[in-house]
Amino acid sequence: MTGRPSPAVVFARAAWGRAYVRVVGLNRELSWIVGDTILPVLGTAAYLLAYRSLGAPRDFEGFVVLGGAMTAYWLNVLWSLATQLYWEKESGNLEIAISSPCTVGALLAGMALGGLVSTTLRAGTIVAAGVLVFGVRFDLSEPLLAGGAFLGTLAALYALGAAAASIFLVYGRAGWQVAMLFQEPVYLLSGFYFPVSRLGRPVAMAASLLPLTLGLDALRQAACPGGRAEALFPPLAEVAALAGLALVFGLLARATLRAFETRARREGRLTLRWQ
Amino acid sequence: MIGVARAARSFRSAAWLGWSVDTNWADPVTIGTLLVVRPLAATMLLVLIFEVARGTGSADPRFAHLYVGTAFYTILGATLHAISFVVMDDRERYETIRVVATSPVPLAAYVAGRGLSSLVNSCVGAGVILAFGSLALGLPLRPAGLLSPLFLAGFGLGVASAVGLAIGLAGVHLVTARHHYLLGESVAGVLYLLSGAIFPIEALPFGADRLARLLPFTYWLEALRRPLVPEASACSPTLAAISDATLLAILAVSSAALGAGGLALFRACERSARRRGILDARTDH
Repeated sequence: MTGRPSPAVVFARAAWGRAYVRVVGLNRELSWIVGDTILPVLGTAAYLLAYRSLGAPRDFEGFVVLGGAMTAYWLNVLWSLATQLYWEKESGNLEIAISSPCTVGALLAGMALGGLVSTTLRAGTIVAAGVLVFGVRFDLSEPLLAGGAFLGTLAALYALGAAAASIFLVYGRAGWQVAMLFQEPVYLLSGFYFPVSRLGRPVAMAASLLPLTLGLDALRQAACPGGRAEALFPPLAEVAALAGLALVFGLLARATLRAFETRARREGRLTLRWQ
Repeated sequence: MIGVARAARSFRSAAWLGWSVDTNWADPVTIGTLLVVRPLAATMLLVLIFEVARGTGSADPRFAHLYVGTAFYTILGATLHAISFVVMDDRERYETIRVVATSPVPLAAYVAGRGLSSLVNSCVGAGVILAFGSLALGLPLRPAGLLSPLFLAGFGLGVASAVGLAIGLAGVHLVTARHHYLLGESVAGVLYLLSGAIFPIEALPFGADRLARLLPFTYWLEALRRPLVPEASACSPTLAAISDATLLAILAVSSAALGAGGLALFRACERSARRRGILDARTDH
């Protein structure tokens, strides 16, 4: 007779199992790869051509491509992590997951890991199309800084997504609509397609609570010509702030997932569909 | 005649259902806020892009070109997504499509009606964007243009084209799995790039402006811009050279073709789905 696996092992197994489904799903449905690569390029191309038709300096084209690439991660966090528990509830999978020995946090970690694969494919395609098709120039003079900014952004962003996911344990369509509300406004506030400093310092500083605001600004400073001239803060300070945000959102996710799961159990909402 | 009356009744009932689904989860103020915030944020993003790129303010005709195009494109994007997504929503999520299909309701009329509330909501959103542009950003909008024959006829014909295309896409959804739920958004994305919504079609690279000239929505946006901000029309010499009457003629032909083509595609897909027994088949991952 073997002993019961430790909570850490259960967490790791559940996360791996959920990530596996996402990755295998991508491989099974090849049309997704087309959808995940060509379609995101269209939106980025539209903004890039808008800059070009307006006669803007070419430095901004790199800003647009990086923003387009990070859009893929934002959409993944919003629709495949933050709202995922809503979809799981609607499809009847949530009750199975909740009644298993694993935690909701483990499932979310797996979704994040699995989602990163397809999302990185999208983001990579956008950057590749920007460079190869549209001739956008990057200047990766500080690769370590760029890597730190990128990883810090992802850590903080996915932790934020996990915290937001707890809302969907309790709410139905109302939560889904709120998620929709965040899509375009975050494009605007985080400066996906323009330097966030142009929002004005007070607004940009308030928007810095969103990981993508600081992350994009730091990435542009590390990889785009002209990035430093449009910077909001020094890049190292932004990377440090991203690490702090990752920690805060991670702790917040842990607390809110517990609180909302308890509330959802008490109110009988874990299995409630179409609410 | 009975068929038309039945289709009209089905459309009306489906429109009420769609409105209820879209609006019964919160109070009207919350819903109204949501309706306005998203398109307004998307538009402000483009306003900032314009300011970063040119910084010449709202008096620049290019600003009006971009702003008005963005405002009306929201209607096209919302229509394509909402109507085509009805099939996914009712088949996969609410699992009610079998109930509709087994009732004496023409499915195409139901699908169009069910997506109507999103179309109406997007029109309200476009109106708010234009009003905001005029009042807060100094967009040189001519309100009288809203009542001009070119605007009224162009608006109606363009919306009819969008609905026709969306019904065709809904038909495609009837015979495809859930994996392809982004079809409406995908087509809308292509049209965003090619229809000259945010930049003149002459700026398209690789000869893609030829494709743009084949799309009815390119002419639709031009027919809406011209009465509201005549100066913006000059941004695209290709379109500026076309007379109002020719614009309307192109839109009339294209809306008839897209309407008939979309309906024919929907019916063909519906027949295929019924024959293959997949009309109500859920396609979970």
